[in-house]
Amino acid sequence: MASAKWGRQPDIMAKQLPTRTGDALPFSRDWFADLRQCLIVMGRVIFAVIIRESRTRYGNSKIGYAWAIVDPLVTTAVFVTVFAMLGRQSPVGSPITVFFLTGIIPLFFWRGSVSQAANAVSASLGLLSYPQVMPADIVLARLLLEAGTTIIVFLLFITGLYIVLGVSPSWFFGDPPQVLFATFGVVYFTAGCSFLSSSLARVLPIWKNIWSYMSRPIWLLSGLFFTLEQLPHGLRSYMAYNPVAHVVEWFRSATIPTFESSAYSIVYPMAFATIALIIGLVIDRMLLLTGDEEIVG
Amino acid sequence: MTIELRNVFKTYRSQRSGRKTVLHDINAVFERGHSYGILGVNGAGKSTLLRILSGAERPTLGEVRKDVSVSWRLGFSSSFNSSLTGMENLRFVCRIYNADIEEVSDFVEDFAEIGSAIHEPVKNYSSGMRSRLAFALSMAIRFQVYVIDESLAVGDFKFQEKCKAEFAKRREEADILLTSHMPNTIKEYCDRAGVVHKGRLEMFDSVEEATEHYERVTQ
Repeated sequence: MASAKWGRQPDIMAKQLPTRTGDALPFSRDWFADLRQCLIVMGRVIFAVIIRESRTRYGNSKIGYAWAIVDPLVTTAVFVTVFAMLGRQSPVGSPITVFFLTGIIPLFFWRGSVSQAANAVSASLGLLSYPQVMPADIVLARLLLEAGTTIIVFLLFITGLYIVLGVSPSWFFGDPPQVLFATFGVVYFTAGCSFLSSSLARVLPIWKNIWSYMSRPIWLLSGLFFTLEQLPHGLRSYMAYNPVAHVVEWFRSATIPTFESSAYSIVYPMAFATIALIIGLVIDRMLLLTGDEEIVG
Repeated sequence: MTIELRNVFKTYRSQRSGRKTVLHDINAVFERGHSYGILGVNGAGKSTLLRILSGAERPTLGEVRKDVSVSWRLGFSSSFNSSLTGMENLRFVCRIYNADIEEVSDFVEDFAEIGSAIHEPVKNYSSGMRSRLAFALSMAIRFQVYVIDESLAVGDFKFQEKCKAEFAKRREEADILLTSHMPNTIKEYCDRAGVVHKGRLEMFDSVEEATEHYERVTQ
């Protein structure tokens, strides 16, 4: 008999007759079979939610998901143009557009995902009445959709800059393994923050307001217009408390070939993300175990 | 063994009235091959019990175990996304239940009789169209247990007849969990029944015994 372990009914498929018997001991063969079944269901749900979200994000618009790409594309283009026209010198020895883009892309992704996560559960209460759909699935689906969109936007920009301004794409791939590692870092950091944000929004409705105020200055304080390295020491020591600034500095160090900052830490933002992730998941689990969720219908 | 409830409590919190325990220590087994009715007056906790049985909600305390597939409440359409079309909602449900999209959409298009409206956003639907779509979809997915809150049939008279006929066809393979405040409805479809009274559930082996108990406690 299937238990509600993992908080998910392993054999929810209507067509398939259940085969399991008894509660599996941890790490036994049955336990792994249950786990595998749960992961399959989870994968199916996440895939379905990604498709659904990509259709509903810009629900009233005819062009639908295309808008999800055009929107950050336009915003970023405006920012980059204004910044480049101010004639500022890039502090990292690269074209100014490269410097700016490598900052705004991870920041856009991070802020967008955390905002999406804050609304993930309250916007999906109807969906959660399907027993196999868990709040974490929706958070994860939104995160993956956001990540996919961001990568497309980034690649479009790299191509666009090459065609329009002749900026070599090699400016963005200084050290390919490091680029991969830093990208993973950005995604992991964002995932941790997203899970925390989603859970906070479920227990503290005011979190959404706090976040909307918090995310504005953090935008300016996270190294979009400067590098941690070029800041004077006194100021830098305050800035160093902001884990987002570390992530941006890390991403730039990995991507821009002429830049290697000594002012960032990898451990700090990763530890921050891990703690955020744990707190987020613990709150999620507590809400699930007590069934203390918003009700629909 | 089909569905088993062990020491199930459900408490709701509200900022104005504080905590309210809707279900007290529910213990019950719903066996495969039997259809169960649940009697109770309005506010006794029937619907909450049904939401827990269908998996739409989790108990505050206690455990729900099941080894069958249980439908969502019949005709329940709040889980549809109103800006998506009926077909897009249908595809979503097929994906999460691992059902064949083509098979299901053929059945639903034929059964729900909403014609080309299936390609319209659900927000343009009338409430009758919504529940017809939800009903047809739950029939197409082929659950082993169908959970029904109060009404077996949705839509207008003609469609109601169709719903009942479809259920009659399914009786071989599917069981029913039906709530009602009217013993006669339950007699028609169920062979066992329980009574929810003031948040407590008592199960009986026959509908007659349950009806007697129900009449005694509600008088």
